[in-house]
Amino acid sequence: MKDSFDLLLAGTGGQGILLTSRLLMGEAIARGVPVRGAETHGMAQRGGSVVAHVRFGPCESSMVLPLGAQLLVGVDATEALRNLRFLAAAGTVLVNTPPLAFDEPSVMYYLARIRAHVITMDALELARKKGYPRSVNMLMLGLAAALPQTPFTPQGLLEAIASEIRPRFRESARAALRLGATALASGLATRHPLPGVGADTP
Amino acid sequence: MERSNEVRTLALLGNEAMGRGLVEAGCHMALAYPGTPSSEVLPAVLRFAHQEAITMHIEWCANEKVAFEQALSASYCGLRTAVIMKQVGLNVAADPLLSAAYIGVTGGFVVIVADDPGPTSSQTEQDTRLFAHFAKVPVLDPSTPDEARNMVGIAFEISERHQLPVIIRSALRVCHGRQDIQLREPVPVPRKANFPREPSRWAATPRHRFQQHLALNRKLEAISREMERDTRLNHMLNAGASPEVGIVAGGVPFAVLMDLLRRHGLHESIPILKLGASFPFPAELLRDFLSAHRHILVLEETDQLVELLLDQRQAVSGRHDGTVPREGELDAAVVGGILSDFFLRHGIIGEPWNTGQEPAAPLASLELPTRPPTLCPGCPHRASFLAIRRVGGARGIYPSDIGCYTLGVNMGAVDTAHDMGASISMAAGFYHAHALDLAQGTRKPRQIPRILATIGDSTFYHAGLPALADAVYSDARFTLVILDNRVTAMTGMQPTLPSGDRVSGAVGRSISLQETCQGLGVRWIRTVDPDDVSSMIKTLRRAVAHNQAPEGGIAVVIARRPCVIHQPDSLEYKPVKVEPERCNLCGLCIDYFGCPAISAGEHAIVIDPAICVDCGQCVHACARKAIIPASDGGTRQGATTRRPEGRSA
Repeated sequence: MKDSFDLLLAGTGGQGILLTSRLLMGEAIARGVPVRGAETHGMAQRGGSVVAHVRFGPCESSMVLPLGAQLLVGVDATEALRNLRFLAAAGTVLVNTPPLAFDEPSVMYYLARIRAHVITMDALELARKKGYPRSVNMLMLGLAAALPQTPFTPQGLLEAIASEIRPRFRESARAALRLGATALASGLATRHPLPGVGADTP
Repeated sequence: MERSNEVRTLALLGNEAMGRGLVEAGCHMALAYPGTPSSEVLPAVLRFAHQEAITMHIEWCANEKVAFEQALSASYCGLRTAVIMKQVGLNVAADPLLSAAYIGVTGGFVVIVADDPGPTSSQTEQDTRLFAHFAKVPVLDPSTPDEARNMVGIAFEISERHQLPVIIRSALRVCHGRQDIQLREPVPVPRKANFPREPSRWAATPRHRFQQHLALNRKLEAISREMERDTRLNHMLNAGASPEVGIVAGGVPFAVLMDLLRRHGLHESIPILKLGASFPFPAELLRDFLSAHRHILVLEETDQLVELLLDQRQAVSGRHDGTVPREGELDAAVVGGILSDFFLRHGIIGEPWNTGQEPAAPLASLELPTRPPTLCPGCPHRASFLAIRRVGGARGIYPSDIGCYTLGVNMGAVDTAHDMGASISMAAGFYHAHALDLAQGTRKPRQIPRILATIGDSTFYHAGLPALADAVYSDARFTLVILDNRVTAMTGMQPTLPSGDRVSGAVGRSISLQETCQGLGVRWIRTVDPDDVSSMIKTLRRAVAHNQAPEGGIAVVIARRPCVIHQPDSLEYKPVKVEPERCNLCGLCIDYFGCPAISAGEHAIVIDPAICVDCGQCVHACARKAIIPASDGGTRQGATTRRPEGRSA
């Protein structure tokens, strides 16, 4: 049983990265779990890189250590690659991408080297089909919440939505979160075996 | 006695936590000028004061010096006051700060200054702790948002006990770090403004200043003795655990250090002296710590202060001997490398730590697209720069200033971005430098380069006024374009003096740019809409002609159009279409105009309808008329849902 859990959300301006991190922190506070985090963005505008660090449990700094994130949520695939150095050994990376976009040899080599687990989901396509194209972040968050190792649950996040998200976005956020949480079971998301990595659950 | 067990906990940014701290400590007045990474403090003060039904005077001021002096005189009257700024803002407020140390304060006076190691959004990596040392005022250095909140109360306490300003130096990772913060009840500090007239103190002559300097040095000695004992600020961890090594750390590097030690199981075995207050220097504490350990490592940000103040450094590793880099942020990768080497050298560990650098090396070969900052789609500055560059040409000189519009550098229309207000004084300097050649007969009047300076409306009132008065007085000849978007956009949409909006929501007096420039002696002033690119070009040509006319002078062009992010509804609907057969993919609109919506297709440029806001500016960016107005009579497809900062769920 781990006493702390670090995760990184990586995306671009306009994808709701900071809102997603505030939702996670609000949910942690509701559970009484200590939580810290950091928001990093350049001179913010649409399309710029945005990274949110979220740290559950005892820690001191607001930022995740390199090789420290048990989970890396790549709401944007390029931004996930840019932040791979934060992913912990045997950690899991969730990527919003059509399958196989992550198969650069150097990336595969690195992921195998740190024994990472990769789960991909074409969240943008899915969100468009479902009619909430701006809820890609919530689809990815639902996918994360359904993993056994994450300290938060889809139910907890659904409850936190009311206090963290503005009314007119709440319904689509809830729908996307629910769909994301079932994506692995329903085959909408795919677990990728890596060379040298067992297909067992992390 | 019944006590409410309900504790309100919020995940607050460090800046919000300090804003909360000001309200909890009974602060009466908070003033600021916005600047990353400090801008979120003042809005948090406003929010918490409002929630707690506490009456305060809260305001964005014209600049940091003005804010400092207003808050200072309120402190003379006995009120608890605070002034908030980024680190380079303290350069602007340096003059009142140094005098305030001598003259002292009455009510608690706290200066919150946000440092930016890196730097990520500043001109310099200056260390405000060194500034405090130079100015002879105490400085506190928080490591976490909660500690920053708690230090606000301690700072007021020290300030009132010793009648000195106290600086809280908070660095980027504290300012923009988030932490669960248990809110405390604000402590009411009832005070009535009462100015104790005492000209020998407040208006001290140089002879009295000597006495004040003497008194200041005594205060600092007294505070230094307090710092030796105040374990809320400076304390030991794992005392006596190892005689071999000891680490002195403060600020953000302390937090990073603790996380790294925990990861490697050393968090209970390495002696640490945590410095929350490095000046006035707790010399005894340091001397004891140094004598108890054979090898000392100092981790401080951003420069050397502790290292410089140590009386002997033979056993000390840090910046002075190159163990710690002298520039850049001390993030976990850097600190991890330093600790690994230090522990390996002194036999604490047998193998170097895996700091993540080595396995990640193959990733460096990935050519990931960079995302350089650009002006937003529909930004009125882009239209202004299009016109400015067209009139100034390749030989023009383009002094600019600090704001979003510094990004005009991508359009070849910004040559300098030095410090707040420098566009105007540097334009005057460029003119006078070239005009010297006239006197020497080595240059004809027509050969003086066209000088077109740009400054934002907020920056103009910050530090542009004396520069413009001087330029008029000295008959400098240039065109000044005031980019009047009615808001301080880059730092998060704070109101400007011309907007007349006040942070409280009250309506202030709008200050007229036109009248200001007239009052400063400018005789040629025009106001244009930059989105009407053709008429802005015509106006700028006349302005340059006025610069060159023997009886002419400075010309001011006010380019007025609201920020497209702040007021998206102000945008006029001017859809465009691409005529592919006319496009030869010359790249003018992509590389030089630089709208994020435009990219190269296979045979012609393409405009991404998801990014385009139908501003129509790009029609003027194409030399081959390949982008033309589309008269489809349609309506805008909800520009408000396409705000660049994003509002998605």
